[in-house]
Amino acid sequence: MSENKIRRYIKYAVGTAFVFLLFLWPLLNMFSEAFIAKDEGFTFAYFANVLSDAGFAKVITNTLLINICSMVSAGIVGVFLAYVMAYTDIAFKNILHKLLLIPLFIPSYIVTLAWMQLCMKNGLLYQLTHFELYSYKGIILMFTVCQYPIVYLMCLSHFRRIPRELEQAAVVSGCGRVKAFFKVVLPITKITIVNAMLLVFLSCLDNFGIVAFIGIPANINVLSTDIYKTIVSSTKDSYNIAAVKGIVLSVLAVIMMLATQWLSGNNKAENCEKEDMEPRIMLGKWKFVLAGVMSCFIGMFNIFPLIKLVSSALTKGQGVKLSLKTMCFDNFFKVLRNVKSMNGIKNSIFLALMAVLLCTVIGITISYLSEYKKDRIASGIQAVVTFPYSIPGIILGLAMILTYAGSFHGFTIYGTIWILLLSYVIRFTAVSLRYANSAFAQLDTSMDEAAQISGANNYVKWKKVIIPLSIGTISAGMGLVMIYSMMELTTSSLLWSGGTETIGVVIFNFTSAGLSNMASAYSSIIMIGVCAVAVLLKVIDKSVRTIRRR
Amino acid sequence: MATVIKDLNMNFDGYHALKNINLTINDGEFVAILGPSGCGKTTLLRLLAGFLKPTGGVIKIDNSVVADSKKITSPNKRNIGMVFQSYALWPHMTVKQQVTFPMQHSIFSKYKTQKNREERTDAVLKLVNMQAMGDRYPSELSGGQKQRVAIARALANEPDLLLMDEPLSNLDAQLKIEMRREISNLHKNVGGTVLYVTHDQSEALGMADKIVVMSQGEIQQIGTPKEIFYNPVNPFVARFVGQSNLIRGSWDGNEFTYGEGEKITDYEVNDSFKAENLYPVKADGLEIVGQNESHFRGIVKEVEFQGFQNKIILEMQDNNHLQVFGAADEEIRQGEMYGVRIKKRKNMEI
Ligand SMILES: Nc1ncnc2c1ncn2[C@@H]1O[C@H](COP(=O)(O)OP(=O)(O)O)[C@@H](O)[C@H]1O
Ligand SMILES: [Mg+2]
Repeated sequence: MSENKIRRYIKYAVGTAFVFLLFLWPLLNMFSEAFIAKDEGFTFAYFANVLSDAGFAKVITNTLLINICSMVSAGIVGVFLAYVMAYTDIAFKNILHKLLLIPLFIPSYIVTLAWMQLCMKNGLLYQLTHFELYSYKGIILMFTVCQYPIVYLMCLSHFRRIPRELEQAAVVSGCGRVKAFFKVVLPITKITIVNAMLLVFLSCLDNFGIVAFIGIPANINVLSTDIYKTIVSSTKDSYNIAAVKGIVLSVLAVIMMLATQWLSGNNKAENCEKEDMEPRIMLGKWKFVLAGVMSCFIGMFNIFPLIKLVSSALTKGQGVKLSLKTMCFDNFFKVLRNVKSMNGIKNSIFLALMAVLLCTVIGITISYLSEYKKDRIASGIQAVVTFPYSIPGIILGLAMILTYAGSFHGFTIYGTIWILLLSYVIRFTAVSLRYANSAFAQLDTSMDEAAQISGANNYVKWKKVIIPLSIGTISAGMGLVMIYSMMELTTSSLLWSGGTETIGVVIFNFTSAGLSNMASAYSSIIMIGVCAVAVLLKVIDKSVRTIRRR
Repeated sequence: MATVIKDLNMNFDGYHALKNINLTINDGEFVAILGPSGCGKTTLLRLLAGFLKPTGGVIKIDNSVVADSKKITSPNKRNIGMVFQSYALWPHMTVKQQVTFPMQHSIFSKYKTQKNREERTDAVLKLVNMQAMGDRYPSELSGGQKQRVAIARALANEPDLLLMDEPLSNLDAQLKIEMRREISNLHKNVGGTVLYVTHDQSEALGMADKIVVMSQGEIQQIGTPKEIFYNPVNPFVARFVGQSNLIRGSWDGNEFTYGEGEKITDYEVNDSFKAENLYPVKADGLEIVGQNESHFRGIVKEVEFQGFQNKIILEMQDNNHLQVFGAADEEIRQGEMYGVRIKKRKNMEI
C-alpha cells in the first residue's frame, strides 16, 4: 500500500467515526433506552407496558386517522391546483403561483396561531359557520392548509413534463378533457401523486406546532404530542416509555420513507426532461373568472388568517374587535421589551447562521466525494447523514437529552445553546446535502472534463468552473436551512432552557400561557422580518445572476 | 507525434466495451472512428483523453506511455483538444473567455502574455468565423455557433491531437453539411492530427484520410474511405458503410450460385462473406434484365428518378430487397417481375 493510500484510509476512518458519533449515536442511544431499565438491565417490560396501554392505542389511531385524512385532502387540493396552474391559461398565473406557496415560508405554528385568532368563538367566522377549530376537523384543515404545497409543487412539475401529445392523442381518440384527465394524465402521474401524499404523511408525523396548539387543548393526542407529554411529565421511567413510543414513531416514519424511495425508484413514466410551460387549455374569458375564484380561496385560506393575526396583535384583550378606537401597539411594545422574546430572536439568528455554515460544509464535502467522485464509503456516509432527517424531530430531541444530559469529561452541552446547534446540524445537513447533490448532478461532467482537457489543474477547475456553476443551487439549500433553523420548534421545545429560547419556543410559550395576543404580535414581527430577509435574498440572487449571465 | 494504441481493453464491471483495439494515428492524419451507437467509440475517445483508465493494453503518445492498466497521465498533462458532443461550453463564460481558458491554464500553453493570448483568441475566432460574437454568452448562441466556439476552444492551444465526439450530431441537416466542409477546410489549413468519432458514414467517407470501422467493441476494418467503401472485408462493413446489397446463395470455391441456378465466379470475395453464403454487390454492380433472361427474379417495388439514373428497389423471391441503378431512359414498370444479374467485372474470370 502506498503512503497516499494509507493516508486516505485514515482520513476515511476518522471521517466515518465522526459522522457516526455525531449523527447516529444519539438515536441508537435512545433506541437502547427503550430496553434498559435502571436497575434490572435488559427488559421488554416498557414495551409491554406501552403496547398494552389503551391510551397509546388511541394515540396511534388518532395519528393514523388524522394523517391519512390530511394526506388525502392535501392530495386532492394539490392535484387540482397543479392541474389548473400547469395546463390552463388562467390569468395572473405568476402571482397566483407565488401566493399558493405562502404556507411553505410561514411555519405551521404561526399559521395555526393565525387560524386560532380567526376561529375565536366571538368572531364572525365562527358565528357564520360554527366551525370548531379545536377538533379532528380543525387539525386536518390545518394540515391541509400547511401541506398542500408539497403535492402542488411535485404534481405541477410532473404535469408540465407530460408530453402534450399524449393528452392530444386521447382527445383525438374521442375523449373529452375530463376523460382525458382521468384516463391519461392521472394514471401517468399516479406514482408522483402517491409519493407526494406519503411525504405529506411524513410531514404530518413530524409536525409539532399544529397538534400542540390545537390538539392538546382539544385533548386529541397524536404520537408527537404524546411523546412530548411523556417526556415533560418527568416520572421515574418517563424517558424509557418515551423511547418506546419513539421507536413506534420511527418505525412508522421509516416505513413511509422507504415506501417513497421505492416508489420514486419505480417511477418509469417516460416524460420530457424539460418542463413545458405553455398552457394547454385555453379558457378564453373564463380565465379571469377562474383567477377570481382562485384568488378568493387563496385570500380566505392563505392571506386572511395572517391579516387576522396582525389585527389581533393590535388589540389589547383577546377577541376584541379591531377598530381605530381599540387599536394599540401595547402588545408590540411588551414583546419588544420582553427579555425572553428578544433572546429568542438573537438565539435563532445565531443558530441559523451557524447551522447554515456547518451543514453546508459537511454537505458539500460528502456530496462531492460520493456524487462526483463516486466514492463508495462516502455514499455510505451519505445514507447515515440523511437518516436523522427522516426521523421526526421530537425523537431527535429525546435522543439528544438522553445522550447529552450527563456531563462529558466536565463538559455539559445540555442546557446550553450548543445542544440546539448540534441537533439542528444533525437534522438539516440532509437538506444541504440534497441541494449539493443536485448541484453536482446538474453539473454535467463534460463541464469539468472540458476544463481538464484545457489544461486546468484541480484548483483552477474548482475556482473557475465547478464553484461558479454550482453556487446557485447550493445557496438555495443554504437559504432553506436558514429558514428551517430560524423556525424550528419541535426539537427546540424539548432542548431549550432559560436563556436559550428560540423564536418557535417563545411563540409556543406565549400561546401555552394563553397570551395569544402577545404571540400574535411576536409572530407578526417575525413575519415582517422574514419577509424583509427574503426580499433581500431575492435581490442579491437576482443581481448575482445578472452579473454572472449578464 | 504518432499516437499508438496497443491491445487496448476496457471492461465496465463485467461489460467488455472495448476488445483488443490496435490502432496507430499518424501525425497530421484525419482519422474517423465509424460505428453504430453503443459500439464503444466514446469509450475509446475518453481513454485517449485520459478520463478513463484502460483495463488492459497501452496508449502511447509520441513514444511515451500515457495510459496502461496501472497508471494514467491525467488529461491536463496531455496536450489534447476535445470537442464534446454536447459542446460543454461553460454557461458562465463569454466566447472569448472560453477560448482563452486553455491558453491561460494549460502547461503546454505557448501564449504566455495577455497580448499573445488576445491575438490568438482573435485569430482562432476568425478561423471559425465567430470574431463578431466574442462577448456573447453560450445562451445567446445558436447550435452552429456553439459548435464553432467549441472547436475554437479546442484549437486555441494548438493541441497535438484533436478529439471530436460526434460533433455534428446535434445540428440540423443543412448546418451539418456546412460544418462538415468547414471542419475539413480547417484541417487542411491548420494541419494537426484529428480523431473524429461519428456514426454517420457519409461524414466519415467525406472527411477522413483513414476510417476505422467498429462494431460491438471491436475494430472491423481500417482503411482509406475508398478501400472501406469498395472492399469491405465482412458483411457488417459492407452493410454499414458500403450500402451494399448482400445477395443470398451458396459458395462453392470461387463459384457463387444464386436465385434458381444463376452462377458467377469471383476470385476477390473475402472469406467472411463466403462463410455466411453472401455475395456483396453495390447498386451499380447489378443489371435489370427481362424475366426470362435470368434465374434470379423479383418484383419491382419502387422506381425513384434521380436525374442521371433511376434507383430501383426490388423484392426478390427470397424476400430479400435489392437496390439497383438503372439508366434513366430505361423503362421499368412498378409491380412487374424482372430478372436481375450480377454484372461481370473486367478482372473477374481469369
Ligand atoms: N461508465 C460506464 N459504465 C458502464 N458501462 C459503460 C460506461 N460507459 C460506457 N459504457 C457502455 O459501453 C458501451 C459503449 O459505450 P460508448 O462508448 O458510449 O458507445 P458509443 O459512443 O459508440 O455510442 C455501451 O454499451 C455503454 O453502455
Ligand atoms: Mg458516443
